[in-house]
Amino acid sequence: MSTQTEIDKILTLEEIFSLYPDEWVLIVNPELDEEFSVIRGEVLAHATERDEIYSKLSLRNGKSVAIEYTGSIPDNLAVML
Amino acid sequence: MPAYQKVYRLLRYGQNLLAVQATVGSREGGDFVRVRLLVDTGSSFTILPVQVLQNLGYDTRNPLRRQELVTGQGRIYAPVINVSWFNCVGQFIENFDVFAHDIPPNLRIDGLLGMDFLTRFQAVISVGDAEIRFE
Repeated sequence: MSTQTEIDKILTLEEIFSLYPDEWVLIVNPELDEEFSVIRGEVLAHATERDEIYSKLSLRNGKSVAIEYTGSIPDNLAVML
Repeated sequence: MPAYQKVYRLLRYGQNLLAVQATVGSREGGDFVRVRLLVDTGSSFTILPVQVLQNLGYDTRNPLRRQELVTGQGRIYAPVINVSWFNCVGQFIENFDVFAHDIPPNLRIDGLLGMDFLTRFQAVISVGDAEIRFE
């Protein structure tokens, strides 16, 4: 498990996926399309575990954020809640 | 055949699942957190993570009420929180009641879009096309 905070730099979603593969990322001031997909934003924090990134929400200081998982979802992921 | 105002794409997710992205407004209403939710016709209500709601300024320890939910892991009493606004698949709702509960992290998703939302807007889901439509 690791969590890191990042310096401000506006990145496209493609760049974020490339820089932080298989991680949860917190993207501050995200530019979203009409379906709320991130176009670009600043990576505020990244972590391997979802709950680690939730704990970093306090860093947003009232700014809007998007929570994104950059890994692929296994095709065989099956759920019964 | 009804005419549909708008069609939104859903995200194919894992095995036979559909997901969607949503934004939740803070208690003050100006800022938001965007999350990814599983579209779940088996869930009566929309479920959002506890820490996300707390960080948006909602007091999950003093909810509107606690309601029993029967889950795959047993019964829980989840806090019901009224969020200032909720926006998903083009539908904007002010003062929307959601349940604060963390679903298992290994699903790699933040919460559930439940039947409360889907029924409210008379959503029609095409699982074949991975689309949601509204009359």
